[in-house]
Amino acid sequence: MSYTSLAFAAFTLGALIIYYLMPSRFRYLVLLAFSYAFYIITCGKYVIYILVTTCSTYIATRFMGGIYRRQKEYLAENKETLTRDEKKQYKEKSKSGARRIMVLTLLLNFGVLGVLKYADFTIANINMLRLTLFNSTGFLGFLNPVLPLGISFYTFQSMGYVIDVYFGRYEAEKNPFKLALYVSYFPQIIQGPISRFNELSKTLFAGAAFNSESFCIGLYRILWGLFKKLVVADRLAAYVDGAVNHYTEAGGTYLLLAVFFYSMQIYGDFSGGIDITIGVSKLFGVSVAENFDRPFFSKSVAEYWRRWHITLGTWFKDYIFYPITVSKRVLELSKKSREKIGEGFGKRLPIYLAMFTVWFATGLWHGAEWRYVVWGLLNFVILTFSTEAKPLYDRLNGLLKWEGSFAHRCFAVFRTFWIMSFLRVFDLSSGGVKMALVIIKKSLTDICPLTLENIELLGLDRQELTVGCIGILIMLIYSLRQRKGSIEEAILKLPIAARWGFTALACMAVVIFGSYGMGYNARDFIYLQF
Amino acid sequence: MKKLPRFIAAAALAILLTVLLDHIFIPKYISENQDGSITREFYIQADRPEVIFLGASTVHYCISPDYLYKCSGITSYDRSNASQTLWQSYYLLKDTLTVSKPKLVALDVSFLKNGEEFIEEPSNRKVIEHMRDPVSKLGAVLSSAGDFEQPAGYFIPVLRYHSRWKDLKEEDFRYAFNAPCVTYDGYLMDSSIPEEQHIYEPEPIDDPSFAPKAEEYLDRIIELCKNEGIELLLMKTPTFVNSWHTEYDEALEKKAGSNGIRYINFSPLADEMGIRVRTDYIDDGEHMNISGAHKFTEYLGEYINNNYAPASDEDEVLKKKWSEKLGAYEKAAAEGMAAWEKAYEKYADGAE
Amino acid sequence: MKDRVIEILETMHPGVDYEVETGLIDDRILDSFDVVSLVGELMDEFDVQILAEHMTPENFNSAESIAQLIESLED
Repeated sequence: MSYTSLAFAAFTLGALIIYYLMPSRFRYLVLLAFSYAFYIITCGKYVIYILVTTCSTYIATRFMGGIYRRQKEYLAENKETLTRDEKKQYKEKSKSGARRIMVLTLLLNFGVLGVLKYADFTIANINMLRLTLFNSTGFLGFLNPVLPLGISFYTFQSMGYVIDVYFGRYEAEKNPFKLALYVSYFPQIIQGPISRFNELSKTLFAGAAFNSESFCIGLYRILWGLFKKLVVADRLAAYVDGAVNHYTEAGGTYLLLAVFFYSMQIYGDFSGGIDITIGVSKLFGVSVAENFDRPFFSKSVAEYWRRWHITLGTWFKDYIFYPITVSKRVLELSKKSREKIGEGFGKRLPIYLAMFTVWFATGLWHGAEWRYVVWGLLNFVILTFSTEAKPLYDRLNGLLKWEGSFAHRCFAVFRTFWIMSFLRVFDLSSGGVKMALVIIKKSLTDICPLTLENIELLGLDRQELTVGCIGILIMLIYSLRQRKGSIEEAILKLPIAARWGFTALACMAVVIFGSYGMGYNARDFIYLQF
Repeated sequence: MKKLPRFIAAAALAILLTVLLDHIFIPKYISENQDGSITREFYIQADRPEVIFLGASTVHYCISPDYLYKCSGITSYDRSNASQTLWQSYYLLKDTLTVSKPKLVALDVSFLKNGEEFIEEPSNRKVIEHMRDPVSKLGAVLSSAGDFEQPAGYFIPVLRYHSRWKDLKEEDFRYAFNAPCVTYDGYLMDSSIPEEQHIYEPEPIDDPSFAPKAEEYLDRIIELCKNEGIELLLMKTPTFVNSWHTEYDEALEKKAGSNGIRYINFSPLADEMGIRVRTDYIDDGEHMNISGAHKFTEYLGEYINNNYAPASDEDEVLKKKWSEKLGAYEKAAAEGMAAWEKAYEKYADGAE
Repeated sequence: MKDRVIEILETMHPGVDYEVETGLIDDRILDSFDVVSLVGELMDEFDVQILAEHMTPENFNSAESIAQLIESLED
């Protein structure tokens, strides 16, 4: 059930009616019931996977919670009698008990995710290795597992929660139904965002009273998401697919246009989907974390990654990057290399090692193919380079005397946008790394004039192209206006006639210009007269 | 709760806008493709018809209700469409019953051999999208729509046709709410004679059985007519196509006999009616032109009067309406016949 | 406590008067690489758990604030 389908709208409407008819304290149960209904309707028996994650998460965190509670009680009871060392020892014992539980839970859940998502990738690579090294054609068969809906998202979210409980960031949730809802909450199950328990739980279980203002804001947010997804992203997709499928024949400038459109498409699609998630949640009075902060206005790649898919970045930062950089082993390694290789290298080692791991993992997160790994590592290379080259930049900017000027900011935004757009070609090239490199090279070197006829051949006729470009322009205007604060709230403050007029126009734009349904070919209807 | 009136107003506005868009975006079938108007015009033109003709496209090319009224005093309507399946005929009949109850239903059985594999979206749309009774319409949609179709699009047509924004013409706006009638009580007048014609020899068939789904709905039509006290005639309109076989006739005669109704295949009687395959059809002996339609309609009227004698309505208002309609029809028919004669001369010249 | 923090700071990054300096991060005396090593050393030395959310400039701007952070974490 896609978030843009009528079925989802009907499903949400049903959930809303029952939700607000229920007494406040039972409302989270309505959400839980509908979340499981959503999951079962969409992928049937695979609900077992999310159940396993939920149960293991619940049991693990409850055990850890128990250990910490006993530790607290023991320490409080024996406050006077215990020496500092004894206290330390006891704490260490508790910690290692909790750590064992956490590690087991992480192994189980990431193990399941790993097998389902990466087993075939691993098998393909083993086959390849055997072929090249031993010339063996005894290929291992693929497993072709079915990926349960949203498994990457709910696994990351639940494991973040397990780690947080382990570090004592907050206490374990005692109500299993609340935890089950946190894992399976239907508006964010397909594509996130990856919410943190302490954030999401504030509103998810509250059963907020109906608030017409935030309800309207939610509806506007959904409308905007539908516009981005249906009018812009799905329309541009026709051209992007057309150009990429014909990348050997299409001229470079057509590919450059596809690279640009793909950036718009993926932003419209992903952030539009998140808009729908946030909007739908608002209808239930639930606040979901923002996942995008106008990323195309970033002035550096590092900044871009703080503004695009924010919750994934935060997850990697908190649970992988940071723990690696401050882990004992890495620090020892760093110390040793300071002594043996050099101060500068040793000092940088922890951060670059952690960055490498994060970007390798981020690459794999996006897909079990080498082109995604290459994509992730290219991000790493660019980020490392820009850190190392900072003194050079500073000097250059000093010479140009434009640091902080409008022109400099524009240049930085432009540069960052195109770096990210070209990196995205790896995501676009289903044919692998080689294909991505050909497209990038061609789009930069093979310059040719664009004609409307050829653009139409690749998938967008003049009218569709016009609507697509106007859609991009509207997204740009929206982003610029967003700097002044929430647009949805601003609309609510308009005089009623203007507000209703605007709403009607926006709805009609989505209904008419959305790329959905079967399309219409008058000829089909004419030839079928008898 | 004090915002409730606003919510209601917003919902009303939304519905109003949707209806407006529906009417603009739905294809009009006025200047071309007129067969798409048959279902819509039923609710405008039909004046309590005593006889309802159901079936596929041969029906609305060979039966002219106005001419039937002229010849035999029977009032009727063609509720047939291109590739109309038996289940669509069933739901159209149910829909008809919500408007007025006919005395006789005459069902063309040509599509009994066609199962679901023959349906295509455009013909589904033409039959169903203008149906008015929501229950019958839902039944028609659920029984007809392919997996690739979005059932909601039949009730909110703009969801299906929104991408016509590129193709919208002046007539889409002009006829959004008051489209004229282009059929004559469901009859599509055509005066042409084909330049060439191929009549194919019958081929033997392997499997003389009907499509199960089609037969199921034939039984449901029989049942419905029985329950409603409506007489039912199963008929095969006169054609010269090779897709009909005597095995079908035998099966239908058996079915009709066991249900106490009549079945007649008019094809072998074409000669008796004076129908000439070369000049009374617009194609290879399947769909009739005006000349053929008048010949068949006259014969059919006699057949109905002899076998059913549907007592003619004495309602003066209704009589007046029908004679007015007949006046308009005769004017058009005169032109149509003149055009046919011209075509006939051209054909006769060519034949010599 | 503060003295031991200063000790660590001096072995890592000598030549700064840590007693009075209150802009270790804001004035870019320590870069992110230094902070990471510092956190590792502190966690090792004081046996506390410094989490990602504790990595704020306010917590690391002076030896005083670092000492306070550790004290708050020890309980």
